[in-house]
Formats: sequence, C-alpha cells, structure tokens
Amino acid sequence: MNTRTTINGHEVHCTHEPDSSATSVLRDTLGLTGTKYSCGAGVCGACTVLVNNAPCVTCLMPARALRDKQITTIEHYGVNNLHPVQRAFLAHDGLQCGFCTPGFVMGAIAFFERRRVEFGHTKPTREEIAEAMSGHLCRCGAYVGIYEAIAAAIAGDFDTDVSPDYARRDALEKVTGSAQYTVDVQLPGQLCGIMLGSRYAHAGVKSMNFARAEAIPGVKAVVRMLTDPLNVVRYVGMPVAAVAAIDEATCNAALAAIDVEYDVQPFVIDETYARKEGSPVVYPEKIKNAPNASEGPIPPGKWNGNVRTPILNKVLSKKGGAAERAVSNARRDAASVHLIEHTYVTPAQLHTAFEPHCCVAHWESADKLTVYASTQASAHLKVLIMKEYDLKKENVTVIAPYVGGAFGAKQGLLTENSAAIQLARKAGAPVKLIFSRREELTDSGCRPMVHNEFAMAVHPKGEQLGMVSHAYGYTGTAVQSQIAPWLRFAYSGPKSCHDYDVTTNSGPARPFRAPGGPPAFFALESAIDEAAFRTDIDAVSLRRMWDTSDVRTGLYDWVESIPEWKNRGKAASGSGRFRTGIGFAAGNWHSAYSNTTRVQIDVTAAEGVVASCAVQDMGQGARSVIAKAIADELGVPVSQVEARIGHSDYVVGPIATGSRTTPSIFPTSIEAARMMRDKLVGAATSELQLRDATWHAGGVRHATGHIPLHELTGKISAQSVTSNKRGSNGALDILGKLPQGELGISFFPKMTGSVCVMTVEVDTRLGRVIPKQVWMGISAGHIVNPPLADSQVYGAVIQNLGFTLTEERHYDPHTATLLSSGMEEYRIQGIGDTPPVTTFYDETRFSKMKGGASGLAELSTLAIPAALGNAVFHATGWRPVELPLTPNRVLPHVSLLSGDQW
Amino acid sequence: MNYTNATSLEEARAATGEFRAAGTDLQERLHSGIAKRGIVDISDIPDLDRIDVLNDGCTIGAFATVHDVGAHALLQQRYPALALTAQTIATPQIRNRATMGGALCQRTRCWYYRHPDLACPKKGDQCACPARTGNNQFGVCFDFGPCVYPHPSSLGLALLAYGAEIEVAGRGRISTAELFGDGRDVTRDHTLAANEIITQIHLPAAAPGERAFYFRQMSRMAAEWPLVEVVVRLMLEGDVVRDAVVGIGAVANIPFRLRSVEQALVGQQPDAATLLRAAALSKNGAEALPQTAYKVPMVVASVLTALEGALGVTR
Repeated sequence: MNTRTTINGHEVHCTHEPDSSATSVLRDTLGLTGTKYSCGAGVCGACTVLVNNAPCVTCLMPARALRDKQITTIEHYGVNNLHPVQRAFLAHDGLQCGFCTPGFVMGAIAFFERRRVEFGHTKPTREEIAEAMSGHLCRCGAYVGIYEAIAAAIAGDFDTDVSPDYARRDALEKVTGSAQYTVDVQLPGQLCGIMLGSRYAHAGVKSMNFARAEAIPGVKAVVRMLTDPLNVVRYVGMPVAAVAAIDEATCNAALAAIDVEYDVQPFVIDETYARKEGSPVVYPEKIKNAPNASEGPIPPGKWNGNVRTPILNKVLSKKGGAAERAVSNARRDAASVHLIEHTYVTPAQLHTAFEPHCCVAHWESADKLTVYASTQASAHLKVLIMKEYDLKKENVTVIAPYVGGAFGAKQGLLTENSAAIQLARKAGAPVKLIFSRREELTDSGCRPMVHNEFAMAVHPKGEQLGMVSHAYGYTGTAVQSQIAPWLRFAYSGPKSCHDYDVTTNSGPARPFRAPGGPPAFFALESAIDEAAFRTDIDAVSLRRMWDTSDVRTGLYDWVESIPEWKNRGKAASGSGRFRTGIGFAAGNWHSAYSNTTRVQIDVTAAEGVVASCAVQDMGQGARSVIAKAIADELGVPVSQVEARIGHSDYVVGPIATGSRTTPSIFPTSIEAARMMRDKLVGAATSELQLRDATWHAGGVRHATGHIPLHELTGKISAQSVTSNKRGSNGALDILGKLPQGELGISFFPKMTGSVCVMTVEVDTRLGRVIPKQVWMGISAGHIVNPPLADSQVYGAVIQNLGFTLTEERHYDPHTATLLSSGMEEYRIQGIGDTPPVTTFYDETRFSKMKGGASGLAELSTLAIPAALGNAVFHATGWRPVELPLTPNRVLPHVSLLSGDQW
Repeated sequence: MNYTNATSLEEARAATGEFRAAGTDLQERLHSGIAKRGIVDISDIPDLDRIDVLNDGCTIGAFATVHDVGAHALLQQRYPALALTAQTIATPQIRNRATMGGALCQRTRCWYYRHPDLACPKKGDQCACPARTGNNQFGVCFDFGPCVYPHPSSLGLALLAYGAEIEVAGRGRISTAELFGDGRDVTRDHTLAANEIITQIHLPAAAPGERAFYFRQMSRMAAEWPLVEVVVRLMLEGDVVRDAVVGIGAVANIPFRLRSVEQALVGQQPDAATLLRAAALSKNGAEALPQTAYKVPMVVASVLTALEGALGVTR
C-alpha cells in the first residue's frame, strides 16, 4: 500500500505492507537511520519521532498512521540546524554509546518546546524531567548528564547558535543521528538474515532438511549453525540454522519450512535442582565442549553432574586451612568470635545492549571479505575470521566505527558473525543479520547468577581470622564463573576461596563488565559491614585495618569528609513508614593493559591531524581519550585532532574489554604525538628552511615567528608516525614485557580501588528501596578525560542499581523458555530511578604505571550493590543477602516497621 | 496479510480481522507473529475522537487518546481518578497515540501469550493456562478463572470506578463490568464479539467535590506494568464518607471493586484507624498462586496508600 506523509518538511510517498511499522518505513524504505529500533515494544523510546510535534514511538505505530502527518525525525536537526537540546547534550555529555540518543533528543525537544510555551525559561525539576523522559531508557546509564542537559537547555544556556565545548569527540554524530552503527549499514543487493533457534532445551538433532525452505521464492541461502560436536542443542534458542532472503517475511517463511528432527532429552533449568544428584545433566558426554564465560583461559576442572570445580581453587586460597579452622571454630564458639555466615545470592544480569548483536558480511570475491560488526574487538575479530575461513590478512576487513553498547558481550567470533559470513558466501550477496530483542536477551550472554556460601570469622577487636567462600556460578551452558580471584586479592587474612560452575539448559554466560566483580563484592562488603556493626568498629576504619595496599587511603579520607557519612546515626534508629539509611562499600580491580597497542598519527593538508588505532568505542570514550591525549601533547584544541578507530586496517589497539583501553591507548597516543611533534619541527626546518625551529604553543616557533599547526599542515608535505608498542611499565617490569598472545592482556602489579557511599529511603509499607544520593570514589591513577570518566562512573552506578534492585531473568519451568525476553519484563533502570551521583578521584597512586592512568570501567561497578544493601541495613536493621531487591523480596522483612498493623 | 480499510462502522463490522485504531497493542503482536487474523483498519472512521463534558455526564470517543483524557482540564476537575490514571500509565509517547478504545480492548500482557513459541488458550491453542502451573511471578492473587494473568487495562479499572458505560456498535450500551465479564472465559480479555466495536464511553454526572486517587505499585518509578493498582473515589459530607468506590487492578484477570472496603468507609470519619481497618479488608477473598503470595500484603498496602492519597494525607 502507498502512504503520503510529510517528513522533515518534505512530502514523501512510500510503499509498504499493511502490517509494516513506521520505524521500518523510516529506516528501511526512506533510509532515515537516525531513528533507532531497539526493544520493539514501545519501552525504550529509541524509535521516538515527533508526529505533529508530539513524541511517539514508531515501533508500535503502523506505517499507515504516518499518513498526512507532519513527521519530524532526528535528521531534521542536523549539524547546521542544531537544537539547543542537542547542544546541551553535547556540553553535559548526556550520552555514551549514542544508540538511544536520537530518541532521547527527540523526546527532550518535545519537552523543551512544550515547557518553553508554558513556563518560559524556568528550570524544570528533576521530577518533571523524569516524567517527561519516562518513555526512554539508556543502558549505558547516561541519565545524570541527560538531567543536566535538559535542565540547562530549557533554562536557556544553549539558546545562542554557538557550538559548545564538549569532551566526547563523536558526540556530534551521535546527537544528530548521523553516526552509522552496524544495524544501519545498507549495501547494494544486501539480503536479510535470520537464525533458527532450538525450540527445545535439550535434544539431539537427528536430521535437518533445508529443501522446503530453499524452494521458497526469495530465499537465497540456508546454512547449518549447529556447531555442537555431538549435534545436541542444549538451550531454547540455541542456533540451529540460518536463512538469508530478500526480506524479513520471506526469512520467517523459510525458518518455518526448515525440517529438524529432534530427539528430546530431559533438561534442567532450576539452578538449585541442577546441583542435585539425579538432575538431568547438560553435558553428559565425557569430553565437554562448553563455551567460556570469562575473558581468560579455561583451566582444567573436575565435573560432577552439572557442577564443575576448576583446579584453580587451590591457587586462589591463602592459608586456606587456617581459614577453614577459624570458621569452624567460630561455628562452635560463637560467643568469643563473630561468625558472619550467609548464602549471598546475586541474579543473572543480561547485557541488554541497545544495539543488538548484528553483523553485515560482504564477500567481495571468493577470498576477500568485509565484515561490519557490532564488536568490542575489530582487530581480534579479523584474526579469528582469518583463521576460521582460511583467509589472508590483506583480504579481511572488520569495520565497527560505532557500537551501540556491548558491556562485555560483543567479543570474539560470535554467532551473528558466523551466520552472516556463511550466508553471504552461499548467497553470493551481502547479508545483514540482526538479533531480535528476544534473541538478544536469550542468547547474547549474561552475568551468571551466583550463590555464594560465605562465612567469615572476625575477632572482637576486628582481626579477620578466616574467610571461606564457596561460590556457585550458574553459567548456563558455559563454564568459568570467577568469584574467588576477587576475594583472594582483596584484604588481608586467611582465605579459602572456591569457585564452581553449575551448568543448566539456558544460554551461555558471557563476560559482563567486571565479570564476577559485583557478586563477589556484594558478599564480601556486606559481610565486612556486618563485622563492623557487630564489633562496633567504624566501617571505614575496619577496612583500613584489613587493607594491604595504599590504593584506597585517599578515598577513605574523602569518605570521612562527607557530611552525610560523618553525621550518620545509629543503624535502624528511625521511625515511621519511610526509613533512611546510609551505606558504604569498597572494591578492588585489576590494572590491565595491552602491551602491543600502537597509535598512528597522520598530518596532511587535506585532513589535518588524524590519529588511528584499531580499538573500539562502545560509549566508554576511546576516541576521545586518543584525541585529547594528542591535542594536549601538541598544544592544540581537541577539535583539531580527529581520532579514527573501529577498523581492522588501523594499527593494532587493545581489545576494548578488561578495563585495558585507556591504559593502552593513552601512553601510546602521547608517544605518537611527541614523535609527530619532532617530525613536524623537522619538516618545518627542512622544507620551509626555518631556523631555530622548536615546538611551542601548538605550532612551530622559529627565529622569525610562529606557525600554528593548522597553518603548518598546508605548507609542508604529509607526515606520518606510528608509536612503538606500548610495552611494559619500565625497565624492571619483567611481567609487562612478556608476550601476551592473541587476547593481549598484561597486568600492572597494583590493583585499583573504589568506594561507594549511598543513601537510601526504604518505604516499609510498600517494600520499595529508593536510592537518594550516591558518592563514588575512584583510585585508578590519572583521569585523562574527566567528563567522560564521570559518565563511565555514572553508568556503572546506574547499571548496578539495576542489578541490585530490579534486573531479573525469568524462565518457564516446563520448557526452559526465557519469559523475560522483552524489555517490559527485563527491568533496567529508568531516568526517574537515578539518584544524583558525586564523584571523587584520587589520581596519585599509579605514577609508576606508564601514562599514570589505569582503567575504571569495571572498578566503578564493584561497591554499589553492597553499599546499597548496607544502607538498607542502616535504615531498617534488616540485612539483605539476596538480590535484586524487588518489592516482593523487601516487603516481608520491613513491613512490621511501617506502623500499619492490620 | 488480510487487510481492510474500513471508513465506516458498517464496513468495519463486515470485515474479517482485528481492529486497528492506533495499533499500539496490535503492531507488536503483528511483528511477533501472534496476531494472525488480519487487519481491519478503523482509523479512518470519522468523529470517534471527541470528548464532551456536560453537566449530566461526559462522553469520550473511542479514538480519544490517553493523552487527551489525561490533559483534559474538565476531566481532571470532574473525574480526577480517570485523568490521573491516564496521566500515569505507559509512557508519554504511548499515551500520545494509544486510544481509549484500544486501552480497553488490548490483549493480555502475559508472557506466555506474548511469546510466539509458547501455547496459550488466548491465542487459540488447545491447552490449559500455562502460567497457572508455570512461572506466575507476575500473576494474579485473586483467582477468578482459568487465566491467571492480571487484566492489563488500568483505564478499564478507572472507568469501572466511575460506573462508565461503554457504547458498542453491534450491541448497544453495556457497563464496564459487562465489557470485562467475570474472567471465566479462558480465551478472552473482554466480552466483545469479533465484529463489535467500542465507539464511545459514557460517564455519569460527576460527584461534586469527590476526593480521588490512582496508585500503582511498581518496582521502578515509571513505565512499568503494575504489581497492584488501586482507584479510590471518596465522596465526603462534612467529615464523614458519604460514598466510597475502591477498585483494584493487576491482581485478577479482570479489574473489580472492593465492596467490603467501600462499606467499611461509608458513614465513617476517615481517620487513620478507619482507613487501616478498611484497607485490611481488601485482602479478603485473595487466593494467591504459588508465586504471588507476596502480592497479598501489597494489596492492603496499596489500598491504604490510595485511600490516603485521596484524602491528601502526605508523608
């Protein structure tokens, strides 16, 4: 059918199916890809446009409803027509990965315009902004900047047509919707790819027949995706096959025509049952081929049913015997020693990137392949593709300039890459394969749920006598949950730490921002808080007593200066329905980098200063770190340096995981800039015959004057430098000089440290926990780009408030199908759930690390769950040990405090 | 896909398929593949979006948007709980398009129903309610019938509390309670036949000076289906409750009124003790599922909160 509409002032006629959505017409038919498709259920707001000036979600809007309407999309507000809201988002960094940003901007513009009419330039309250933006979600957690941006825009701070200074180098592309993500790639002749997932949780695949599917007109390729060596599917949604066809409807018809004969086996989905004798076993075979849930190698382990015990457990204990004895003594003699013993439960957390896993594969010839991927590791993905498909280095290109959120789940050669590559080869045409939101939540990984059977014996004077942890990580079909290392390396005292993987017939767990971290520190920091309470020792002082490093010393001093913390009352001393409390917790994380990272700089007349590195920016700010480091070193405004990343042809950068990005690219960017400076001085001397040339004030000073860099580029030949490999942290750093292998990670022998203080209000009548204010202290060395560091920390707070309060997976017990497979049921935090966050950085503790800057992406997540739990204890006297703190879990423990006795 | 563009009620009633006005619910079900009956586009039928507030009542067209109802100054004044509900549900973007008729006729939000690979009687599958013996974490705690998922229509609850009548092309005027039925038909979310269309909503004359409130219990601040929702209307005479309406949703497969709570309020001074005593009655008759016992104390807490809200009791 045909629909006439007006889009951004232009009359448009478009042809579509009766059931087409407005999103598909805008994006696919009209190519207006600034409007994003994410949840498909009207929850996330990424597809928001203005319909006759009112914001509407286009995923739930029939294409026909566009008829005779005035539609305004993000493309209306381009670089030359920026709205004050966009300038405010730039200046206040109201974004990270940028995928939800066009929707947020459109919603905020509608609010801005409406409110200006009603109230002029009066600043809106947080509550008003939260209500107006309640139909938008952001997984990176950019809400703190968004609050500031919208308030400042309405107040009039950005009314003049002047581009503000802003720290995020790709923010302009993101606020205008021109940033091209993998889902936006549209190549000539491109086909649509969709995967077939298993309907059964556990079954042998006896046969698969594609004949009927291949016979459907428009179907161009059908390929087998089942890679299990025994031809067994082990969870609902596990990829079995994939099809490529001319459109989505044809793909779906083909999927329905694939004949698979299953031999259905018993399955297990209940975590507790999976540990029991006699439960169905996910990997009954002798040689088990379980995927890796971690970023490190899988050590050998011993299996018993679904429970796997890695041999690492022995290494990860310290005076394990003493720890066990101390705990068992405390169990016998609770009067003279404090025994803190709980099973701490943390939920599975789904990454929920707003850009789903996605890949476009294009075989330019039989042995030449270009892959557009939503990945955290373009260079590494290239290597994996070369190996898997036996291709030459020069014939594989991986492109990923913008990545709409990843959080650990987008590394390696993933299903969507394999499917798109194989389909494209078979079809002889480019294929784009995008996970549906259901696939994204079912099959792109999770942070494993953890039951930590934890006990700690503490002397009345505060000495840690022994800690015993048995941490069961429910890793789905994967293995390698890691809790023990974090317990082992935090604090002094005897420790007996044991990790176990428990397999169930659910999707494989994958690394999630600080894998193992939030679960480990929830147990540890809740237990320490309890120890502090029971020994009547100040919570900060007790940690000072147990610390083995100076990394948090400055942070503790800062915490002790926070008035709310200093003036806190006794636990559970309030009254009435609403109880307030304050909690404190700490964390430690590794300090990692990639010693093979290089950065290249080219200076040309046409393009000015262009830096390049095969690293990814998923919102954490890699582009901006490179640009800022180089601009500062050259003494020029950051706007004069362009950083190009996300392309495997660039010099090798770090895989953007493991908090290693900044520590890898920062020192190499500085080195490259210094090399370029010398080169420019040399060129000025030789080519322009300048005397006494030196680098000064962003240009070349010479005997008779000064040429600023932007003028110099037009006068000399093109210059290019590439930094050396990042290397170790000094002559004596033997560890850092060791070759790293493919995954490229080295460790600096000092852990980073963080603290979190949080106030909460507990509504004892309704069982609701509301965070009111958060203070985050970070000790990770030099902060390269403070506004972006703040954004990273805010995002960590918000994601982990979700982990602590609302995020929870639900399965059907009878089929093991994921029920919380949409964003209505998988509940991430909204803007209204976000409290104000204050940050503090101790930058003094990593001067011996090259560049002085460690990473903070993972570090900043660790202390949040326990800080919140400890605040709930302080408010109510009830100590939560099981997350998330949804009202059903909270109410039974606090309802008696409400005073509503019925 | 079978498609009819109906420009009159007659054409619409003669066509085969699901009615699509704004499409807010249908569009998602079309995309997931669970809506298979085709589309009867009714959005071109004229004159169904008017809101007329008169002294003896009010008429709201079926195509009036949720936003229009929430933002209507006279509705806010005379039917405050209805306007408040309309301002609270879903998200601003959805409220801008979703219609009142669609809000009443939307299908259940049950995750078994919405999942294309799972069977559910509401999709025409020959099976018992899968949530009853499956995962019913967000299920009912008042067990009225075979389906154990809460009815999704918050506005239906508000209209029930106002004694609204629904004008149905093909049937005539029915009460809101009749629209939803008794919850015993496992295949349905409302009692309309496939060719019956809501055209208007009639509200009786406003009760002067009513004190009203809408409260929803959620795990987040906004944009979430409720765990419990309550509409309260209190008509006071001096400091005594002359009449009370307390309706509850999200706890049964239909919204319903809590008559015993209402009775406990009428003729009483609404002091703290009276509210508590009345609210405590709200759990009478509750029958929780294996996973929904948590909702029962929340019912009492939510009713109490809504009663206090109506009376302007602040923290």
